[in-house]
Amino acid sequence: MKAADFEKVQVGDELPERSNTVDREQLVRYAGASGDFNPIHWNPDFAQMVGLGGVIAHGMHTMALVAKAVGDWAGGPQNVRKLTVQFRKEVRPEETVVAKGRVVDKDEATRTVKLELWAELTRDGETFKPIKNGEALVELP
Amino acid sequence: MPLNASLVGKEYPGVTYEVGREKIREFAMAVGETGDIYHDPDAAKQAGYPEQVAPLTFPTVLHIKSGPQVIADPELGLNYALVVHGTQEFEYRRPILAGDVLTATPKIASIEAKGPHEFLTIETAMTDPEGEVVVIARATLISRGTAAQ
Repeated sequence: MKAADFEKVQVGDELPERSNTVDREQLVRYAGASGDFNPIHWNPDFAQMVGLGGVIAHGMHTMALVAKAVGDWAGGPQNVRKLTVQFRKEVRPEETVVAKGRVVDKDEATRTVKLELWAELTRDGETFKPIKNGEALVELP
Repeated sequence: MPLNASLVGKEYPGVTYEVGREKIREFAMAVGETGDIYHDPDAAKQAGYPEQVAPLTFPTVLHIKSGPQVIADPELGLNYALVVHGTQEFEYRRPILAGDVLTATPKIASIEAKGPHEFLTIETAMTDPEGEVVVIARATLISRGTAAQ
């Protein structure tokens, strides 16, 4: 993984997108790997019963895709100082999530870049943001 | 019933977790992190890391072990059925590596009412055996409709 070149980074630059089509197997895997066994993420009957209309992805599973976009751009996790997201909309199996970001600030003295982050998906022809107002601070080598 | 705001500042017992190579691989696989620094210690060392590296959201694994004692604290009065995860933040001092032994110590950082909802922020410091902070995680949970009217 090669870090973005600090000298060339400009406010307004967009990060390469990362996308993922969610499926049931991923959610079961994520439940096992993270230890978050809330049945709303893997048990369709339970998810129906509590009014969700079916299983939904873990918010943290979606955050991980945003984190991948940031980590890849930053040249690895060692350059990421801070990562924040807001969860705003559920993600369902078979939906494709696209993680996006752009440079909003650049500090020459600390070689730190501030990113704005979000994730998008399209449902019934409408675009939603399951993650909004995300932010990262990246210190480039 | 509103949450018990007098608990702001309350710290809970630390939960210690040993970060294993296979656990990192399993987690990396589950989040689509296919880069070899997350799977192969030798590749990580060649890339300049001291050991196999954990993906950025790996601290959630510790969170899920240290958080329930806060959520289930009878003094807090949180009804988990009304809760949604609003915000998640990680502040990193260094990457988490295989072999790390980390202690996650949660505390209630704030409880704020906004309209009908309450926002509970749990701050969890994850420290190494020398007491150095590796990651600070802040999770804000929204307790829907529980604010005093």
